[in-house]
Amino acid sequence: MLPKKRNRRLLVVVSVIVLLVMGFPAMSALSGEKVKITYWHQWTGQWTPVLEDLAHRFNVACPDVQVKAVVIPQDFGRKLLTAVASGNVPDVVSLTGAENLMFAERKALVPIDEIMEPEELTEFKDWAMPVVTEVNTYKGHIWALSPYIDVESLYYNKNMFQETGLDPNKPPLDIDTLDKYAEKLTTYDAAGNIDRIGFYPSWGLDLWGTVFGGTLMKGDEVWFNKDPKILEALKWIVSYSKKYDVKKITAFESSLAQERAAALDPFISGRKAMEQQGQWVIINIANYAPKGFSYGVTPCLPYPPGGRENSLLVRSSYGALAIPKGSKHPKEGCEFALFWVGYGHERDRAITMVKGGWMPLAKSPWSQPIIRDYLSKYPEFDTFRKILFARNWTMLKTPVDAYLFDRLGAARDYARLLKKTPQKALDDAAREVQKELNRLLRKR
Amino acid sequence: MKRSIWAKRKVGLFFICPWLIGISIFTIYPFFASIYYSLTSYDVISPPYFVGIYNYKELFTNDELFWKSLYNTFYYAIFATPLGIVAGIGIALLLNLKVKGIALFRTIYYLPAIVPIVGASILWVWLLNPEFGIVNALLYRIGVKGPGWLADPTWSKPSLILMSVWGLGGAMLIYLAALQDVPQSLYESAELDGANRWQKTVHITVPLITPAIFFNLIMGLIGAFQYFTQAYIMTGGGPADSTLFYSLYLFNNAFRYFKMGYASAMAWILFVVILVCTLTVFKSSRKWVYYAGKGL
Repeated sequence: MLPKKRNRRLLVVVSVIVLLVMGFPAMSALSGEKVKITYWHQWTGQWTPVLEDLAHRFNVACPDVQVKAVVIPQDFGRKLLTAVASGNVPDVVSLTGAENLMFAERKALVPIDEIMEPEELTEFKDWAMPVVTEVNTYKGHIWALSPYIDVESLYYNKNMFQETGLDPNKPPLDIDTLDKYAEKLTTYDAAGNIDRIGFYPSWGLDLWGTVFGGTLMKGDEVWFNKDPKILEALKWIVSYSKKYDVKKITAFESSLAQERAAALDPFISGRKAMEQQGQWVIINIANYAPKGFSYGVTPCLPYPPGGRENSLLVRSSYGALAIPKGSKHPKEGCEFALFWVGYGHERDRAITMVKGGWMPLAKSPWSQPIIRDYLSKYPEFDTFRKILFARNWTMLKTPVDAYLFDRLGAARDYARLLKKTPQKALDDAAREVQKELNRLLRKR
Repeated sequence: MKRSIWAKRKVGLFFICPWLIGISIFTIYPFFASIYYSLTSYDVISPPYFVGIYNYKELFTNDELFWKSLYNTFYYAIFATPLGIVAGIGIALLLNLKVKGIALFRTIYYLPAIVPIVGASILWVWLLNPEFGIVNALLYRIGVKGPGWLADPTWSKPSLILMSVWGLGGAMLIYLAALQDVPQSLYESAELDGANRWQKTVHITVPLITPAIFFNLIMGLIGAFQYFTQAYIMTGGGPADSTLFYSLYLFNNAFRYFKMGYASAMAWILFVVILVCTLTVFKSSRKWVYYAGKGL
């Protein structure tokens, strides 16, 4: 008799505990407790506080949801993949760029079009620039939302122009003039090493190939070795190795390799008279440039005859906001993503631009007084806005983006270091990338 | 009696349990699992898809970078390992001299071995900087125009080999211990026979420290074939794939392109390469390694 009684008592206690445990989330929801979500991003250093401020503003604007921004400084893709595989994922992430479509291809993300209501999505698409969703559209789904894209142009040092006898109000607008100016602005030290370079096309072949009017991929076909304009761009990069002596240019470039911190940017520190750079450098110049530093920005990157004016290469955008598969709060994660993009929160988006330099991809935030003030303070920013709104973008979307990036970089290296002819370097890289792509396509 | 031994064993087993569980989960299981994964196409998220020997076939017949990375690794192993032995013995011989302050010199030469590899790598990036680096600055003083080092595909591998000599402390310590183990009486009898310093080194010292050389050769070879961290940090495989070592390419395949099956196949090929090299050295050791009391 006694054991039975004890059993019954035990059953009651266990039932109460189970009810309490199971009912707790529902009770907390009823009592209005906030949904807590986690946001992973990779912005370190000076950018981390900007993202923390963004999260804080979201928490104020959307009181039902509490976001925590977590910075993942290294191996983001690997950590995210492990998180997805283990099922312990953040609710929303800013992707790395090169791995975006790889994650989409492997269905490690929840499509945004499956989270948002169709009407809401239609309204959002009307509000945002098409690039926000288009660059992240793959196999019929929108896998992420790009809160911004980077826009590049040519920065030039007006003081150095004056010293060299060049008109600071007439920067180079085409490749021939750029080359001539670069030669004039280059100086050497006593040992014959390059002390300051006028200009060097240090950025990727993807960027310059597009400026030259080339196409890197045509659907699932690797095209960069077949397009004469990409070859022309690579030959132009190689011409710098020949003109300035490959050893000298390599020594100079590698002496800059460690100077990637904002204050040590080679353009700001005066080691480059002209440099292709993104819009964010304006803030770095404002914060770190020496007194009297005078600079200008060309209306767009200089391009050769037959090249692209206002060329803008958009490839698997860095920072695109996505919801990883397994997210416990995809709706709330998406709500945060929309906040970041600025949808319905134009003023907040304007603040984010002023603090971080990330340009909004919709018209309405630009009419916010805070941005108008900002543009009058930094008129150079307007150049980047104009390039953005010219919408002459080329999208590069491939699930083997990381591999393409590596092999295109290697092709550039082989050619620039005069180890292969430009055509051979492109052919070899194209063969490798096509093989990799075919392997992935075959698997489908 | 038997029972009490078993009871003691249980306590022992209990205490080594964390290690046993650790090695089972993190070493033994992945070791065997990778055999299976090497026969699959696997990207961590989707379930592995059996492809048979496709990965191996691709590597051998259709992957130029595989051969390039293998070449780079062999190049490094062939130069860095013997150089490490010669330099290690040389330094150990010097540090075996009875001079004043020898303890200080020994400490100085051993110090680089305890510097974390990442810190040392970043330091060497600066030392070998073509424009600002101290190495080229010193060369310039003696009228030599230094090369581009890590930025030049011709010099990038030699740069890393040069750097490997800097971290010889561990091997040097083993040679030093072996040197101190050489019986003094042998030198004395050689001196009575009129042997000079060189003859004593070649005919007494070197043969008697061959077990230490053998050990360092094996460890050096394995280390060279697994060379990764410095290249990952200092060059990332460039310029123009000149420092794309086998382990780095394996890492890229696994964690940059998420081809775990392909990377597993690469790991097994590396295992076989190391096994063959080690067995060859072991086999040859009968001819050149002398153990006290056996060969002498």
